Amino acid sequence: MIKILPRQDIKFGLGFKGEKVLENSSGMMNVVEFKDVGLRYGNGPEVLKDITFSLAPGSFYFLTGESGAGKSSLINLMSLSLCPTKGNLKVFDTDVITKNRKKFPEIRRNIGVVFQEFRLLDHLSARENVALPLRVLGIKEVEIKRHVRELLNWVGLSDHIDAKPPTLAGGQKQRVAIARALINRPKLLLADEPTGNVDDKMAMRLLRLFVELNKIGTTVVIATHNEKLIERLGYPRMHLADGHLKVLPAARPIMMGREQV
Amino acid sequence: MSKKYKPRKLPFAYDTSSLFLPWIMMLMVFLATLSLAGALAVQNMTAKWSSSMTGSLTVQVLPPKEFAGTDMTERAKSATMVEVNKAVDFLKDVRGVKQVKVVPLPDLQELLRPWLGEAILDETFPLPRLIDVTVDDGDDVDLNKLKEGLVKVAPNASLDVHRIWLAKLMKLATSLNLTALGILGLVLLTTSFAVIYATVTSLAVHRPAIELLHLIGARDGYIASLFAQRTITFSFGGAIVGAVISVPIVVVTVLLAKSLEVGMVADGRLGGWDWFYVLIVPFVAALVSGITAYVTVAFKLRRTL
Repeated sequence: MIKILPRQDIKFGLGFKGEKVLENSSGMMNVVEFKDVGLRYGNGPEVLKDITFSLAPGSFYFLTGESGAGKSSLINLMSLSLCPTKGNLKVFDTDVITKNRKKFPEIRRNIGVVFQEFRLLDHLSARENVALPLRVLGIKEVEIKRHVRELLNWVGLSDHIDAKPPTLAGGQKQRVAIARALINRPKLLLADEPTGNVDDKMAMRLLRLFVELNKIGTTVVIATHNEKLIERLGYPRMHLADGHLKVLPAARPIMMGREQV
Repeated sequence: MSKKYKPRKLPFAYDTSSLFLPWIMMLMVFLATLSLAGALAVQNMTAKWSSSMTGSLTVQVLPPKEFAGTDMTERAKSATMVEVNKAVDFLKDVRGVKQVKVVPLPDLQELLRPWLGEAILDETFPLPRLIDVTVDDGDDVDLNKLKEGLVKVAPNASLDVHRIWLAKLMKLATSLNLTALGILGLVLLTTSFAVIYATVTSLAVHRPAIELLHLIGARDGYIASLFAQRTITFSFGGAIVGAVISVPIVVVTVLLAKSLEVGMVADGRLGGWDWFYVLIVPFVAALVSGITAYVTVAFKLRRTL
């Protein structure tokens, strides 16, 4: 089973490389800050309108909304794969609109993203896919091997370590994608329908991993349609409708949700 | 159970450029090796000609006209030698002349034997006498004045200036050399364009993988180095095959030139360093293609998010 290190033990963010730890809550900077952000694709209609919100370090949110409401677009903005067409956007206190894109890799290394369509590289094995973020960081192969095996075991893919994505089932691919997003212990975890292709038992197991990460300081945003899951965990939600965002309080006390997990 | 850990793989799958690059590199290295070897051989040839013609003149003294069409009698021989000696005396006094040497008759006969045969090359055969003249620096001697003065003291003497015909030959050789170098340059340019084209195509094919690498925090330099690594791997395979085909052709050509034993052609040999340059062509080609791929990717990615 994977060992989640207590917050003070991990070198915050990467778990491998020492770096500046964010100050704490009361006076601490937000992980993500949107101010009047708008987004449109080309000359099309505005998908996101005047979005204003911020995510404090260590917070946990569900992102809900109907299909096409802009959940994936919002996640893409937070992961710096899209640039807003208006407004101000700060990630880790860095203004991503005015900042030179050369600074983006540093920011992105602190963000883990689980894509709805997985985005696995088909010619690489599950192990190689999961290892990619660590390779980018220049971690030693011995370390990579150990961490990747550990995480793949935890997501229940120990028997599929060398399997290539085309040979894996949807749920297995999703777990590889989750493992890849978590391997470098991100400060911000963005997951787009991360449990969409797995059974309830595996969904709860994966969410438990997210909750554990959240406990040690990772800010988590999960886009989902699964109301049952949202109710069970009881974290607050951000709801998108007609391009506008509303932050709704937790359906139940958070502790209750955590206990259930 | 999981299998034994496999070596690290690049995050880019095979695409058409993977097939295109080795073939183009094979062809380019083949052409580059041949043109480089040709350029080096011609360069060696001209260098040797150039050194042999510097400061070298030949004076030819014919038997006097009254002996024309007859055998070389003792009288004719001594009359010729009188003119030879006058010419030698004159030449020794000319400013800039370093050495004057009459070519011995047996040496002359030896030179002509392959063409005229043993039978007619006897003592009576009318041969002109040759005088080898070495000058300090050919340019310091006024050849026209020298010629005029020479004819005055020895009317049957004529000046054979190697420089005139060698210069023409050198011109030809230099243009050949430039053509070979031009072909080499064109080959390099074409290779670079081919690599740029293959890299740009590859970038489009692997766009999803590149986006993913960016999203997990990869810098442009990291992605460019992956592409360079990949390009070098593909190019080197083709380059080695190109060298394996072209180097034997160069070896055979050099051996054939050597076997001719005809002074000028045999001068176009390849020395130790020349072989080194020829043999490093595939390595240089692979390296150049890698650098080209790196620069292309880094340039293209500047515009991405």
